[in-house]
Amino acid sequence: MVYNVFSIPVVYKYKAHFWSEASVLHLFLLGLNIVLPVVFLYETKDMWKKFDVYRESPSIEFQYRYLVLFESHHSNPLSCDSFNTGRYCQEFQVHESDLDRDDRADTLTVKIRTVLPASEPIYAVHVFLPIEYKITTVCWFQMEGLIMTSYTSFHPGSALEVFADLELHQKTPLPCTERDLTYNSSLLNENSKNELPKLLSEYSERNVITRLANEQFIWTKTSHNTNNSGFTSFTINMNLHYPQHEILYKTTFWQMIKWFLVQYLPVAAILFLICKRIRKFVFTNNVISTVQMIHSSKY
Amino acid sequence: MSAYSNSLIPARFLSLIGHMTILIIIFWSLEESSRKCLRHDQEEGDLIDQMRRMKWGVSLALAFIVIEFLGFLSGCSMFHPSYAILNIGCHGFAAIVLSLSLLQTYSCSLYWWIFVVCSALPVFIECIIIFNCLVLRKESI
Repeated sequence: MVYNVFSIPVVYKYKAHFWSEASVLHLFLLGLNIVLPVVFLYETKDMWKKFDVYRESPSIEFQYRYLVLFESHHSNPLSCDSFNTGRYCQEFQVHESDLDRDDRADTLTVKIRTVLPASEPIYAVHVFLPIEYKITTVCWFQMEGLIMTSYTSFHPGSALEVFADLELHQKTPLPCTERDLTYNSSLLNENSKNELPKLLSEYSERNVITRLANEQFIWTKTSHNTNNSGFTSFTINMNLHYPQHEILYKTTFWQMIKWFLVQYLPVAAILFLICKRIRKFVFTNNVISTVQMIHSSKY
Repeated sequence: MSAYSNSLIPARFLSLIGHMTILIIIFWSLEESSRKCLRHDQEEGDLIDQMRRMKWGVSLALAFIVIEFLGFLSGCSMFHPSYAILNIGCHGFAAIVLSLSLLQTYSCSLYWWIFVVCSALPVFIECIIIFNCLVLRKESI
């Protein structure tokens, strides 16, 4: 019985002058191996991964400030706010709860009740609630966001219930290089009621805003039998959810290089194997003349 | 020479046939392929003009392939190994890229790059080989 006790590879070397056909083929295949993957990546469009998306449940803190506008048939809306103007809403209840226990609030319930003159039928309600919005994992970004909602009805009402999700809206990706506090300035103040267009234009110019999505409203009409006191009350109930947000951000240089290599190397490896087969065929069959040498193995 | 005649000659024949088939398909659907490449370039370019140019280009490329077949099948260039490799590379590449251009939309100028590199260059060398073979009676370039 004969069996293999030891094996040693033999290396053949094929040599040619620099100015020869073999050299041209060799350099051409080498160039193809380097350039063709780049052409392939360029043609398939996402050679450089400049943006990326990740998900995070943001840390949202309610700031216990509010501005509510009630529109009746007067041109000037009735309002109540928290800015020391003497027009507080009579009842203001906030409940934030953390359902998955990650130290970040998941739902917000706000109940606002105010007393209004019974002679003023309410046709529309606008609510502005500032929040502190913060993300910390991949990007560090903090801003003062706004929860804005408004509802208009043909019938005068006495209660509004809102169900909605808070969503993040980005015009451009976050730069994500350092702590970003660009929009961490206070939005609402005591003059906001009179400067509503300015507030809205400033807010909509921002690259990153929070807004409500998936809004559902229940509007309760005023009942006819009002009491004789001359006052009626309006109740606003807001039930908000804070889902995970998708955050679009600019990738860093090394992240771009990493994804380039991840895409480049597999294509280059496949091409390398193909080129190796071509070389093997051409040189071992002596299709192009070279000098073959058996290289003594050093193993 | 056995590996050479076993694989390079059939490969060269097949790549030539492949290139020719794709060219005939483009010739048949001249209007459609001209419209497609004009749409890619987003030009108001004249369709009739583009069709005329494409017709000339494809006819010329087909004529070049006929010349190459003459040289190849008459035996003048059949046993030139390095030329065979160049030929297989050029015609194989042209067949792949042109068939892709039928499926997707590419720029109109792509055809002329393919024409120069993959049709004109091999036929130029083929002509030199045929000249050497028939006039100078030499075996290699």
